[in-house]
Amino acid sequence: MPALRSPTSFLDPAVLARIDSLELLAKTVVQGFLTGLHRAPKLGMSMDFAEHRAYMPGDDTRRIDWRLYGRTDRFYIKEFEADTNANVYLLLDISRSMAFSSAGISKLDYGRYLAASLAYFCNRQRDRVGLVTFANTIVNVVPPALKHLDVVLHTIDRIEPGGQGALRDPLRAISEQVRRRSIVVLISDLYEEPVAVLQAATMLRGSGNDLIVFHILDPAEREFPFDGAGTFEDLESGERIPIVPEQLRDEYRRLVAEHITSLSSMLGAGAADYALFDTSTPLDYALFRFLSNRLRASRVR
Amino acid sequence: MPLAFLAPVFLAGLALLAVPLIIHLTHRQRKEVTAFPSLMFLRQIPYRTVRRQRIRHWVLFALRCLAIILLALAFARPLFQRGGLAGAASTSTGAREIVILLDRSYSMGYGDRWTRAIEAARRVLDGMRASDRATIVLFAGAAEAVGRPSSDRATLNAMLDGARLSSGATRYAPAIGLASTILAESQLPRREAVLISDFQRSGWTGDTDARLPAGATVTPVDLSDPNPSDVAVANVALQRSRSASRERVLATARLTNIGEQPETRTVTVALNGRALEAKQVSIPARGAAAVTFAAFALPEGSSRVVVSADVDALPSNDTSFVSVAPGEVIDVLIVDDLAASANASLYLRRALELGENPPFRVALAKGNRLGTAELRGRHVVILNDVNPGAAAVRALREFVHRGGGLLMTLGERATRGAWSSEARELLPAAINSVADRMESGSARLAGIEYSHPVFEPFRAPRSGDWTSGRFFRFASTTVADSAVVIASFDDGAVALAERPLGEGTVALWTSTFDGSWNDLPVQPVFLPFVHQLAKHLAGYAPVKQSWKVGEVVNLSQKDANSSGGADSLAGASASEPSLTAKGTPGAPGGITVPELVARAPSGGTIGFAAGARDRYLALAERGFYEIRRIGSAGQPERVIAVNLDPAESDMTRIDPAVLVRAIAPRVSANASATDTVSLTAEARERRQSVWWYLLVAALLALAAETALSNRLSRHGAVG
Repeated sequence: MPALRSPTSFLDPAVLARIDSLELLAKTVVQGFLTGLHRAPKLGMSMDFAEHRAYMPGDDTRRIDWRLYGRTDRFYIKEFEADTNANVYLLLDISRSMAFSSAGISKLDYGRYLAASLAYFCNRQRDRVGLVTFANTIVNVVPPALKHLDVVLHTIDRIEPGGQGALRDPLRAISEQVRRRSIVVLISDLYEEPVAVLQAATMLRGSGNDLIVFHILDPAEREFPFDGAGTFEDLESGERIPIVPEQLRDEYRRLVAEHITSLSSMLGAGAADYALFDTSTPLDYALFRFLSNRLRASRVR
Repeated sequence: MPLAFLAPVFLAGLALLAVPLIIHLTHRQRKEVTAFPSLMFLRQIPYRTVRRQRIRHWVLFALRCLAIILLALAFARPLFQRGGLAGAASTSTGAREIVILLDRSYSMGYGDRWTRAIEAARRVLDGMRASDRATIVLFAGAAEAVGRPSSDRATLNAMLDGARLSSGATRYAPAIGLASTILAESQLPRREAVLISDFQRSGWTGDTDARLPAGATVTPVDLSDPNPSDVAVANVALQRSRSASRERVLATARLTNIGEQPETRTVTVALNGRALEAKQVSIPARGAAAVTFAAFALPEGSSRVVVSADVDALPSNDTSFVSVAPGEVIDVLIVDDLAASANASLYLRRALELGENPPFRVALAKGNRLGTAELRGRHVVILNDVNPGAAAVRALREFVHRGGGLLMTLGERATRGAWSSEARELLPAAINSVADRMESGSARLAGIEYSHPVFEPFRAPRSGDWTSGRFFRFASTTVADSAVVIASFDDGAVALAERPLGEGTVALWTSTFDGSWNDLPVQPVFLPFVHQLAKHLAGYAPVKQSWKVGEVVNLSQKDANSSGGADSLAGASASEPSLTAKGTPGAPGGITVPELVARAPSGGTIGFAAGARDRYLALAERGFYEIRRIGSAGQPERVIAVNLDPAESDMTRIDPAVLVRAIAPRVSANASATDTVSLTAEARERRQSVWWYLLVAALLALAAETALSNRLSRHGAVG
């Protein structure tokens, strides 16, 4: 009897990498993720009719169903499905360091799948989804809109890694562009000092936005499994230094762990919701993280 | 059993052990660059020096060191010294019987080999003690002991002073045989042979059983050069042609180059001491080249042709000698019937006139009255459809008895009348009748004796189609007891038969040569058939233009040829006889054999007694031997060109150890070969071949190193 495949295995990044169509990929991820979830019964302003209820004093007279009044000679109010109409900005770091891959998919591909899945998911939630790709400057901008999913997915599909990574300038530019409270999702490998990352995050938070930071790392960046003396080249700057990995491994791991800890503590203190993923982590973990944050944000409002 | 080394300098290679040491103490920098997202954290880590490193991968390190050690040892060519034996030999006090085998073949003239050979022999003499005794044996094609065994160094050194290079080729077997005899007869307790040679492979055939006696030892002294370079004039071929009354000769010389580099030489041809032409020729490395000179007219008498190239390290094989003389013509007399037409012998005459090697001098005669005068100087007489008269038969009988050849063809005229009893006795077969196959289909030659000299050239496939000739009429005959049928028709009737008579031969062709009874004259086989038949009846044998050193010439064969008449040594103007087997009839017989003297190229003379039946001349020198009659003046009667054996120019070397093993005494079950053969260190090392095992072990270590290294590399852990 063959072993049953785990449902979450369909969300394994390595499995998803075999799907060419980004939209299909996002649909696969999101629908698989939504299985078993129920819609929140919160009613609000939307185009989706929910039910009628009797008019009560204080209700907006514009919502009275006059045709029903004609038939029944009673006042009924039309209730609609809740629709937050939130703006979601997906900020995707496409600097050259994101192209690194020790095995399986690269960080950029992981970020690409994650961004596509989030875009599809948000679109299903009737949120307006926009996309910003950046390195040390902004490369592409797709303004948030309900009908921009195809453009967003198309833009994500055409991403090519390039440029050096820097958060401050592009995030400052984005914070200036975002005029309405939005949910900002930052997908990056965050190769900057934690303080600089915090400053950039603070700029976005300062506009009243919700910031979710997805820190993407390759397993090799955390474990540093290399052996044998050799030259290491910085993917972004091209700088080369000779290294004996065996000698540096422990120290490196310690520094990376400190970096992650600093980011987590600084951002988690209120500036943003920080989550670390390596490229072997299934995408639904990231979606769960996003959803929980989304619910938390809605409760806050 | 201590260990020694032939090339200890290679032990310096052990210094290479530092290489794996350094490699394993330091970390080898990978050639490929590892791309990494950011060096942000790596830059923060202080750089560490290699001083703290320790050797990693001990097994790999050990394999690498082992491979280097084994390689260094292999190149140093180790050998085990048999201390016991060597010590015993060196400390033995018994008197020695020493045989110094000194190779004096002409290849020893290469460079300074001969000088080194003499020096080596002197060193052996210097090592003699008062009780020792030595014999010097000079050998090339044959071996010769110079004097008797002696303990007197001065005498032995004097013998060495008198030793000279010979023109012979190396043959080890006679020398080993002579040394074996000397050592076997010796009563001294220790017997040794010292073989001083350049060890040419051509000198040892391996099929000889020559061995040293039990208890004898042999020490090789190898004088060969590692990469000899030599150009030799391998041979000279002369192509003769006749224009008008004179013969012209086209000389082609073939040069060989045994060196690894192509060579260019100036090659000169000289006739009777006068240079005719010089040409430049390039000979490829390890190859050969031919050079053809312009044809020159052949003067009267024996001529000496010398082809020589520029002198090199081995001068003796840079010259080749050929002797050549005009006069190789077969005289043929064709006798037609008186009533025959002018074209009766047209096919026969034309066929013979086309002969070039040798040419035929054809004369025609009419009538059936032949006498001694008409037959004088002839080699072959052809009675072309003629019924000879009694007088002619008598003359022909005497002619054949003296060595002449007689061919009779049968046609309308020959079979018309009855033959006289004397004529019938002359015939190899009795004529019965004429078989007519005009109506019943032509006859064809069916039974041919291809082993006979006449048909031997047609033996090979596609060498002549004898079934194409159609015979419409032929004489039916009964073969005499003394006759041999050489060819017969498809019905068994005789076509060609012969019988010996005296020193000559009588042949009978039972059909015609004029095309009337058959169409053989228009068949392709007719011309070579007629030539072969005439040469066979004339007893023609090709002249040997040059001989090799070491061959023996029977001068009596030459004289037997001259005992007849026209073509005798004196009568033929000292020409090279084309008729070596038989004399030419017609001359008065009973001449006593004169005394001869042969003058060697070096000037020495060899006399031959007048009454000797066989007079053999051993050709020991290269150059021209002159054969003269005692008391005669002017040109020599015969000139014999003698060249070196070209095989000796091949300096391919045989391993002295192999030769020593082959000639060493047969070992008994409880004695090893090494007990009886004292080898040089080099020979002993070759024999032990320890380096080979070391090399194999080194390769195995390297293979293991490669496998282990690859395995570690796959895991990214090798330095």
